[in-house]
Amino acid sequence: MSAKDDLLLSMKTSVVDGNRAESERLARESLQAGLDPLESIEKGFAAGIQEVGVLWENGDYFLPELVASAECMKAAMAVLEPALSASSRQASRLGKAVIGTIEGDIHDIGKNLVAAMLQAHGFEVLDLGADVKLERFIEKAEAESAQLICVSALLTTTMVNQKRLIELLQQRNVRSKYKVLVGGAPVNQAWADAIGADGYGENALAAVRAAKTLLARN
Amino acid sequence: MAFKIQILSAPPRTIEASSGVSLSQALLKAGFPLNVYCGGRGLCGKCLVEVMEGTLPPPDQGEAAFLGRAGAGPRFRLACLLPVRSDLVVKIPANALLPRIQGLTEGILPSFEFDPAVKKFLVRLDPDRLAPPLLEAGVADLLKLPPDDAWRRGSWPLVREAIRASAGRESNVYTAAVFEEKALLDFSPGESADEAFGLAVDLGTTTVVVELVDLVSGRILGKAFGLNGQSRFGADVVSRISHAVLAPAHAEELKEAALETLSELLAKAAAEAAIAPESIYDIAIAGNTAMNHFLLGRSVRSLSVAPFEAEFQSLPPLEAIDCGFRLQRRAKLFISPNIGSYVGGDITAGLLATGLLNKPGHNLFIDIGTNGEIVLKAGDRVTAASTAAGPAFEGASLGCGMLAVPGAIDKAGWSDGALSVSTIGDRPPVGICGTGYIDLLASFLRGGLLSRNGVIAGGKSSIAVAEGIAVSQKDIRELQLAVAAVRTGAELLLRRQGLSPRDLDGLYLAGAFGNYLDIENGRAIGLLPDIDLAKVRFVGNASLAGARAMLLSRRARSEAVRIAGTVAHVPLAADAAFQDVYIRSLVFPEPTISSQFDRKETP
Repeated sequence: MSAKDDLLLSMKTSVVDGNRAESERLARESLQAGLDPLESIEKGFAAGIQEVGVLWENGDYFLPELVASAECMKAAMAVLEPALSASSRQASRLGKAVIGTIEGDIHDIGKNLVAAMLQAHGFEVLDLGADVKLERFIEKAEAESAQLICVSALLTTTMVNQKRLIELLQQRNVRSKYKVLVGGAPVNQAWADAIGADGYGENALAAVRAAKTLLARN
Repeated sequence: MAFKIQILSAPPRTIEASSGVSLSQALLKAGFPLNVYCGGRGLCGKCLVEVMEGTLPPPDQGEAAFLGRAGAGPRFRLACLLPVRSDLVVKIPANALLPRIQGLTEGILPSFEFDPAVKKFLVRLDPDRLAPPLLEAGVADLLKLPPDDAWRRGSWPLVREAIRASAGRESNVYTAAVFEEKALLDFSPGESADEAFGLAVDLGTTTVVVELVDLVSGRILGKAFGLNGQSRFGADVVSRISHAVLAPAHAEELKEAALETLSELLAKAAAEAAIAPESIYDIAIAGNTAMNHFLLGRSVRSLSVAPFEAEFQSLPPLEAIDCGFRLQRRAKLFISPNIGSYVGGDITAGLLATGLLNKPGHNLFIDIGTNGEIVLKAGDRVTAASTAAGPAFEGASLGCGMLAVPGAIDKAGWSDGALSVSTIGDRPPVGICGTGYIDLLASFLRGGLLSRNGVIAGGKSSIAVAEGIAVSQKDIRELQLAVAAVRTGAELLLRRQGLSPRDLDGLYLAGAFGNYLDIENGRAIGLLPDIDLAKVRFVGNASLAGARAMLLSRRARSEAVRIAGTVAHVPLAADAAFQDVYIRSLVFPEPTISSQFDRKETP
């Protein structure tokens, strides 16, 4: 195995182990060694994130491991991103998403996890926080030319606002510009279908899968 | 000038009293539990004592009537009407002692003096002396009620009506039911001062308990419990709130369902005690904030969305009939005050019953159910939070989960190297209830079948527990989420006061679930903070005990109002550290110093 392959494997391992300091160190080392940052991201760190996804599906990993690996990815990206060429930066991004917890709801762990995983998988994410007004989702998506709007609701009393957001997008005649992804404890595929959302994620990784599928269709 | 009063009743002792004070005041001041039901106004005749030696002024006409009716000998006097004018030697009969308010486990309930909001007295109307127009003011004076507007409009017509209706009767004795020494609830011919009853209610989201209490003796006469009829509109509080906000008719449905359950249970309890619902004068209800709102027909819109606010905290006593209850016509209703939107009157009642706010040092109160409510009393600061534990501990959402009913595995542990389980009612196991899951998780951790991050060892997808019963990896994930919710709540409340579990002087576990929980196992999985076993107290249904105290003691009511106003409700989700602590709490705790002393076997 070449030194480069060794380094890429270490990057992957650091993410799988959730070793944030190691990920950050390896990112720096890779730049010093003259590795292409895009390659480090794709074949090193992102490969680790992929592996974490598999471990999650198998039931070996749970939320703490997921969060730790997302932290690794974030730390590595902070080092590598400034070194990317404009074209590489473009290539490294799957799309742009605005995300938030819906108006009337303040519960945001689920939303934060989805945001972190989307980011770890290469999406550019604008996190609007919790109790986000319907208008603000649309304003931000318009201003930032996002392709994806992700809306979380953790209560049966607030999920109805996900429906209102889709209605508001229609009223503003911008519905077709965006893919809308819904999630949250009381939300399911049937609700997503009923309100005319484009996708639903049962958990953070399912949300990433749905987001990838939706944007691939474009 | 001070006199000596020698008390012959057990425990014998001698107290001092200054000249001219009433004997009852002197006894009460010395801490003697004398029953001054009417507040020492000579109305009830309950403080009858025997004076063996001493100077006795002659009784006035009112007292003489009482003494005559009681058939008391010449040495018997009402302590509240007897001024101390010499040294005295007194015997106090057992029935002149204050009834005890039955509380929680011995030693936990703070004592509230017996002083129900509704009291009944006998009244003798002398037709010669009380001829109109003196009658109206005269009766008010007899009952020691102020002859104000409330008397003229509300109380007097009751008296007038009763006198008219009983015209021609031989006896001139009536019974009055008085509310808070302010107004009449009832005035009827004959002697029925012993027939005053009240209801203490624990209005839970899942289970409702109604207790019939004698407002004169303080005794519990009957009890009934059942499932809350609102369950058909949603299992948890939030789903019922969302049902209610959809349409006004839905809110009405929820109110009716709760009333139906309560009516059914109170009829059952009354029948058990052979008591007519018409002789029930008062209700005290301890329910969570949403339950209170539904029952009173208040809008729950503000409870349904951020910033999640209750419509009310404390309310004055209400008219039970206006709320849909069919009891005595003018019966009253007291709602245990809410602390916040998701920490309700049930918790206020629980805090009242445990006296948490008056305990020295740092104390934690945990009531685990679908919502895990946690209250921390740290020095002078009292903070409370509600955590979404979800239905896992009630057996819902888990593969073999079930309620704690016969056939449910409720206990588990290692015995001679093998996992052994027991079931409720010693039936063949058909599933696992909340306490069973907690014991199993702790046993799996101790036996190395489960890693601290919740992965089943050996790449297996489940652990067999009994024939056809297993705990799956998915179940463990659900349980980790539920445990972490409660653990995060306790940790954040402690952290906000700069404390750790080690600093706690006491942990009070309330709720039915708390009663059966194995503390060592609860601690091993992180559901309970890392605390010395000796500091943990089970307090059972503290909400019901608190409601009972509010029914039987007006000071308990004012204390409840004070508690609700004192406890600061902390919205955990808004805490900056919430996510971090929650994610970390998903990992089972490392064995700690205190858990090294666990007496649990390992394989």
